[in-house]
Amino acid sequence: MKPWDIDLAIYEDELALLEGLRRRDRLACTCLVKRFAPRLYQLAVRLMGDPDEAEGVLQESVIQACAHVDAFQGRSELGTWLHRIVTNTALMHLRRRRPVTVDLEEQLQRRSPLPQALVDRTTEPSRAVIGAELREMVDRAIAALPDTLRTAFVLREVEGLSTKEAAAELGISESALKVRVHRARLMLREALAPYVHGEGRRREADA
Amino acid sequence: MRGEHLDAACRSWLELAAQAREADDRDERLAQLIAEHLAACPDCAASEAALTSLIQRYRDAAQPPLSEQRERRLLDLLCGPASASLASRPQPDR
Repeated sequence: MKPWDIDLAIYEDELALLEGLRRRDRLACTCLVKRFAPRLYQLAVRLMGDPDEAEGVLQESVIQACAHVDAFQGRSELGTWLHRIVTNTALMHLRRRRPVTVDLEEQLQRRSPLPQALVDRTTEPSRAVIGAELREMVDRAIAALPDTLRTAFVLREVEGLSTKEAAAELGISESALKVRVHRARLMLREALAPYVHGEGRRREADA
Repeated sequence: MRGEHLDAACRSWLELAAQAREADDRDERLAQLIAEHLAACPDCAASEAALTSLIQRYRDAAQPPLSEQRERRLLDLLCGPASASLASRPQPDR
């Protein structure tokens, strides 16, 4: 039987899954991947801005998690622990990249406006749902941010960490975190201008 | 037109943001300056609100699944002999 053909119900319970991982049961590792990898991969993609690099981060993270599951003491949920491993691994990979200095003004001048055709119209009348096209547009805009701004923005605004938590993850002050998030938002406002302005007009019309 | 707003009225603010360094004292000052600007500038406030709404929807949106190919590569690596070869370190709980 191939590892991807297993019955996920074997380790439906998190405690049982942990026990299986501690026994180095391959089925438990497979269950871990099936249950958590999609979410962790998305986190890695958002932090790295590149699907292939994200896959490398995911692989390294899951292997580390399985190898060091004995160090997991259950003070947090398993998913939270894995989230942190992926975040740390991604940040380590990003630090290995050559540092890039970014002139915000130059970035803004260089950025060409997105074609109007990319403005999402598929979400009307239900604005609770984001269209696939719009999601890809946001993905691209986030991926185009400089590493330092993208990681701050993703951890704080997308992953929902507090300012204190995100700053601690990145090893910077809370003030620096806030400034990076502001800068990222400024660049995203420009990159997503057609949609942001359309959204603003709709909000005004609703008011 | 809102699309031209950032190139005109807020240029000085953008330049400050672009030139700012990340020493703690300057960060604090800059963060305060940005917050004050967003509170006082209706155009920026509107754009920020729209962006917040968009990001909220993006956060809540279902993400595309991990491709089968990537999942299989991960499982092959995890369940094969290569799994023991990567350097690793313990991770603290959060």
